[in-house]
Amino acid sequence: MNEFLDMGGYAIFIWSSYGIFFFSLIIFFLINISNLRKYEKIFSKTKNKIE
Amino acid sequence: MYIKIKNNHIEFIKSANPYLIFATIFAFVIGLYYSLFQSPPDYIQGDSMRIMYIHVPSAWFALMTYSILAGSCVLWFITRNPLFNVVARSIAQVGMVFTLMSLITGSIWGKPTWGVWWVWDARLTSMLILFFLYIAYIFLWQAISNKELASKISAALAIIGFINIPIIKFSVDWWNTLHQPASISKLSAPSIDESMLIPLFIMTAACFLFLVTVSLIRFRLVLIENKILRTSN
Amino acid sequence: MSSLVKSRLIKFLLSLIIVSIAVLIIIFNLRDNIIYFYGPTELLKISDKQGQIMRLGGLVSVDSFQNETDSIFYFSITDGENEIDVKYEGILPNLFAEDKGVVVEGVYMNDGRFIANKVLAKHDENYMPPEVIETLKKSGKWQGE
Repeated sequence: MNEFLDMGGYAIFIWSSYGIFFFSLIIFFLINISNLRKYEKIFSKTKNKIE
Repeated sequence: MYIKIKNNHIEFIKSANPYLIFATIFAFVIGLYYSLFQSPPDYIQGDSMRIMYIHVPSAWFALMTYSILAGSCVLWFITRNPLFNVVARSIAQVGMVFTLMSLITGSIWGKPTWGVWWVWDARLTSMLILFFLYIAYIFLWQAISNKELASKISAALAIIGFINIPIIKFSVDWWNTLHQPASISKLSAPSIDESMLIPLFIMTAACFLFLVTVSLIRFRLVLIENKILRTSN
Repeated sequence: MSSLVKSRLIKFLLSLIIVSIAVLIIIFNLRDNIIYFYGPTELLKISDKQGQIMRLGGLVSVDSFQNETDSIFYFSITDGENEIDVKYEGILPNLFAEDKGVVVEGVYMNDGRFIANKVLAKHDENYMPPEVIETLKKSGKWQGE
């Protein structure tokens, strides 16, 4: 297991690049999901006002 | 050429969302298993070449997304069908994220391989320009309050910026660059061993699923944004 | 196709042609600035190259590598036609090896030697597991080193 984590001495490069990659993708996904919810809420409010 | 979006289309995109999210996670888990456990290390680079499995798909989709972006801006300019404007705005940010990821992972790969984080060679510089083009496209649209004008200016920028795409693709063949030429091209057998192609293609599929999933979420988001803008005016 | 769409299409194609011609002109004029490094043959062709900071790239010649101390190294860079001797003081990147790609930054001296202050390893486009290289070498199919 330690050998796997060590990645032939390149541990810091591999784990940091994979870490940044997946962290960014997940954050980006969550931002868009929450923005969608926010906009849906705003839209339903403005629609109610018009009606 | 005029395609109109109906409510049942949006309902369909909405219902596909959970399956797409599941498929993306599934593909990434398989891809991670293959790229971190199954794949052998490279004979020169050792384990550091595993970064390629996230770097190369990011770069591919950075270019592909920009091509779709520029293509839909062209179609929008000619037909003025708002659908193409919505498509362009849906995918721009995903492309920007992929460009940033290919720059960051490439930089982390460059340190142990070349000995430096960054060089100003033609490939790296043109890729950085692509990142700025994405940012300019997104911010221009947000900054200009007249949205008709904003769409025109940002679309013009996206189309002119497309000239950068062939420059990125062929920079490694046209000029001496520190970045190596493409390992996979249609005309010749790939210079990558099969045991390394499998993880690369699984990761590519996973990134593609991510691109589709987030683009469709943003597609719904942009449509609602348009509706809000229309009612508030 | 309506005439409005047709006129937009023509306008678009015209501006596309103009922009691409402009960009092509710019690229060909910038050619020398875009090149990241020169090969030995290209470098030798340049006049008044002495004393200028430039980059030289190619393969490290086989059996050319020597180290005076732990941090002073001598090697030559070749492109198959011409060779330039390089002196470098500093730390070499891990992937530096004979018969492998390298890019050095430094000054071309009057005596024909290149004094480098930066050495970058240049990786090629081949990705192979070590076992595959072994079998390729055994069967004599391996083209590399």
